[in-house]
Amino acid sequence: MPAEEEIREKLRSYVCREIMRREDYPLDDDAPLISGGLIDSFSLVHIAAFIEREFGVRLPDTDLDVAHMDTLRAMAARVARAMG
Amino acid sequence: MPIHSLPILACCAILLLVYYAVPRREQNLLLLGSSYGFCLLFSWPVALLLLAMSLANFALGIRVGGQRGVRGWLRLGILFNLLTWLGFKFAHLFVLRPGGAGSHLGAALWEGGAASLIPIGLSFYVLQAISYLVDVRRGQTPPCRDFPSFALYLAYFPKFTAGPIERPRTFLAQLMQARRPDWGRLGRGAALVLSGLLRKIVIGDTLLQAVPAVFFHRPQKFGGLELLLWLTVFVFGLYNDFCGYTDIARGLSALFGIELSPNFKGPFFAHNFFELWNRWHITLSHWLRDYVYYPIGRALARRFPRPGHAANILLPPMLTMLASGLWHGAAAGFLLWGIVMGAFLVGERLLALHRPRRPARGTPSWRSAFKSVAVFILWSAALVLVLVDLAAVPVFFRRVFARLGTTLPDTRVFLLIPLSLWLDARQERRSGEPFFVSGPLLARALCLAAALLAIFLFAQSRPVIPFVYQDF
Repeated sequence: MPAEEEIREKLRSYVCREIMRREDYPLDDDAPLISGGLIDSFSLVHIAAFIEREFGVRLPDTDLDVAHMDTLRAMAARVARAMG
Repeated sequence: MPIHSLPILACCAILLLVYYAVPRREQNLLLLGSSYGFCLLFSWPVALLLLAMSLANFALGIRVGGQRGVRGWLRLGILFNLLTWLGFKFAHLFVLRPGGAGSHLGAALWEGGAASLIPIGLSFYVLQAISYLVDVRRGQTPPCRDFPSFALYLAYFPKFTAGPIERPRTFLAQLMQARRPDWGRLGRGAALVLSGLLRKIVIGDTLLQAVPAVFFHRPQKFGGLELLLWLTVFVFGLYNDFCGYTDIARGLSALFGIELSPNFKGPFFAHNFFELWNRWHITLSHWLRDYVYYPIGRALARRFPRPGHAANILLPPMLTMLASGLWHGAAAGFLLWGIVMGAFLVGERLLALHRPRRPARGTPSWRSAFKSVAVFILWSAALVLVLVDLAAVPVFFRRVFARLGTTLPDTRVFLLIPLSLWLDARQERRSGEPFFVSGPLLARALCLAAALLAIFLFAQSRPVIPFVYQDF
C-alpha cells in the first residue's frame, strides 16, 4: 500500500497536468483547490476516476466536496483511509 | 397560508412554550402534529398525499436497507417517487386549472406555463425521499425505523413548502437528540426570521409588485432599456422572495433547535456559472450534483478517462440542467432554460480546457466585478425564457437589441437593489450570519429598529403575498 506522501505526489502530478494544465505549477499540499477556484465538480469527477484507476478505491459521491477534497493533503488522507 | 403570516408566527410562539418543556420523543410528535396541521391549512388532500408518500417511503426504506432484493426495491422506490411527481407535474397539460393564481405575478407565471397542479411541497419532499432511499442503499444513512421521525423529515413545516432540501443524515440525526433552549441559537433564529421578513416583505414583495403584469405578456409595449430594467427588478425581487423565505424557514427551525441548510450565499457575486450554482438554491444544486451529475459524470469518466472527451464535457452538465429545468416546470420554456444553462456550463468548461487555471485570489478586483456582472446578465437573460410567454421571447430580445429607447421605469424602486446587495455583502463577510447578530451594539440596535419599522410599514400596506417558489 503506498504511503500518504506517495499518494499526494501522484495526485499533485495529475491535478497539475490534467486539471490545471500547468505541469510546473507550484501546488502546495494545503492550497485550497475548490474554495480557491482551482477545481470544480467537473474536475472532481475526473480526480475520483483517477483515484479509482490508480489506487483501486472508489470514493463515495458525497465525499467529493470541499470538506474532503479541498486540498491535496485532505484528498490523500481520504484515499489512504479508503485503502484501509 | 405562508409561513411568514402572522397566525403562523403566533402559533410558533405558542408551540415554543410547550416544546421545550417536553422530552425528545414528544418534541418530535409536537412538530409532526404541527406540520400536518400546517398542511391542512392548504387542503386535506395535500396532507393525505404527504401521509401516503411518507408511509410508502418508510416501508421502501426498510426494504432497501434489508438483505434481499435491495437493488430492485431501490429502483421501485425511485420510480414510485418520480412517477408520482411527474404525474402531478404534467397533470395541468390535461386538466384545466381551477381558479386563477393570487397575484399578477402568479398569474403571469401561470400564463407562462410555470404553475401546475402539483400539490404544495411535493417537488421538495419527493427529492428528499429519493435521497433517503439512495443514501440508505449506499450505507450513508441507516434505514429509519421510527415512523414519526421519518414522517417529520418529509413534513417538517418550516421547510415543507419550498425547502431547503435536507439530507436524511443531518436531519434525522438532529431528531435523535433532545433539544434544549440555547439562548445563542434562539437569538440567531430570531435574527434570521427578521432578516427573512425584511428581504421578503420590504424588498422582494415591493420589487415583484412593481413589475407591470403586461411585461410578461407583451414586451412590445416597452422600450429595450425599460425591459432590461424591469428584468433586473424582477430578478432581485425573485431572489429576495426566495432568500427571505429560506431565512424565515431556517430561523423558525433554529428556534426549535433544528438546523436547516443555507440555500443562498450572495449569488450575484459569482464569477462563473459553476460558482453561481454553489450560491443560488444551494440545496437543489447540491442534490442535482450528488444524484444526477456525479453518477453520470463518474460513469462517463470511467469509460472515457480523458477530461477533454466530448461526452465528458457535454453530457453531465446538459442532462443535469435539463433535470433542473424539468423540476422547475413542465413547459417548453423551462426545458429551453435548462438547455441554455447547460450550454453556459459547457462553454465555461471548454474555455477552462484551453486555458491554464489560476487561483481566484490572484484575480484583479475589476476583473472579478466584470465577471460577476457578465454572469448576472447571462443568467437573467436566460430567465426571460421562463418569465415571458415563449412566443414573445424573440420580441423581447429584438426590442433590447434594436429599440433600446430612453424611457425609464419609476426609479424609486431601484433603491432597494443596493440594499439587497449590501445585505449579501455583509452576510458574506460574516460567514452567512444575519446582520443583527454581529457587529457593534449601537449599529445592531439601529439596524434592528430600522428593520422592524420598515417591516411594519410595508406589511401594513398590502396583504400577505405567497412565496414564488411555493408554486414549484
